[in-house]
Amino acid sequence: MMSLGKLITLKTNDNEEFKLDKTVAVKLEIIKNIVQDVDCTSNVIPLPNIDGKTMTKVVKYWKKHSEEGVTEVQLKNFDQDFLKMSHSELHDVHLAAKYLDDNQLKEVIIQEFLDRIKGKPIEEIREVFGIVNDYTPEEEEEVRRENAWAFE
Amino acid sequence: MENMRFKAETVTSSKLKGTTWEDVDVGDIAMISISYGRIVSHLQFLYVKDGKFSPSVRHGDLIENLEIVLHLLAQILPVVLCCFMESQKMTKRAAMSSSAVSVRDNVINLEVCERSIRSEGESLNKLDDDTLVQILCGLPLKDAARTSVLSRRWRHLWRRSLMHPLNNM
Repeated sequence: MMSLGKLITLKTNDNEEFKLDKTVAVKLEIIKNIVQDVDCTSNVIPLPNIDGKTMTKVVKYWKKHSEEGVTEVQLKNFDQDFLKMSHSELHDVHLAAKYLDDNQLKEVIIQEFLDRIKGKPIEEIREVFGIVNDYTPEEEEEVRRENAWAFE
Repeated sequence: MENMRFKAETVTSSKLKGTTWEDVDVGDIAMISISYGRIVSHLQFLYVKDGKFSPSVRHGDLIENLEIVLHLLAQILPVVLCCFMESQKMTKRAAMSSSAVSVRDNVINLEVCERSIRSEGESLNKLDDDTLVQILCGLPLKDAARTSVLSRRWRHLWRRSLMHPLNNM
């Protein structure tokens, strides 16, 4: 069992360390499991799939959202600001949230992706998701015909 | 580097002249295809070592003067860079392009750090199908159906969003 220290250290794959209050950290399913399962003497939890840059963002989000007495409006403003990142950074945070099993953060990111592609032309959507068009021109024509009603 | 802007962009098969992504070995690290209007003038491989690019010979044409090639690089638009990461554990490749390459003092610095290659390209294609379907659920039906032309992977994804419990259309 992990010792009963107040702080838990999360260590990213580029060796950046984040010290978190245990009460914040154990809200996350994955952290809770590690804390319970792993015989961890050092209180350091490795996060092999997350880099420091991404984790900085995630931790910032957690901290704000577990702040005592924070109002809805404050959180809304914080989220708005928090989501001002590049498409790829958003992807990274989503991957991290997925890995950490943080459903709330995942949903926030998905909503942001949605907002970024809503009503946008195909080319811009490709940009948001980093999609490489691998259709041949003939195939693309076929797909357009298949869903012609959507392209009217 | 500061004045170079890179962003992920569609690389059509025609630009790659029959070479698919899968055909290029990871060891090739990076590839650059220089398009001149609709005609590909030549193809060239770029190797990445410690975040620096070193150009290979041009396909079918030897490089006699690196400076000329670099100049060419800067002037011919769009430049499409297909970068393969050397030893990134999490990523193997990224697609990127630049439409604003500039030359200063006859030198163009193609140095791109791994992070920026990764963050602008590779990581983007990693959303799993379930997540994409979730996103599609929030789109109006017509918009969702339009995503079928994004790429092969997307052809039928939107149909799955119709059956998804999140769909409130």
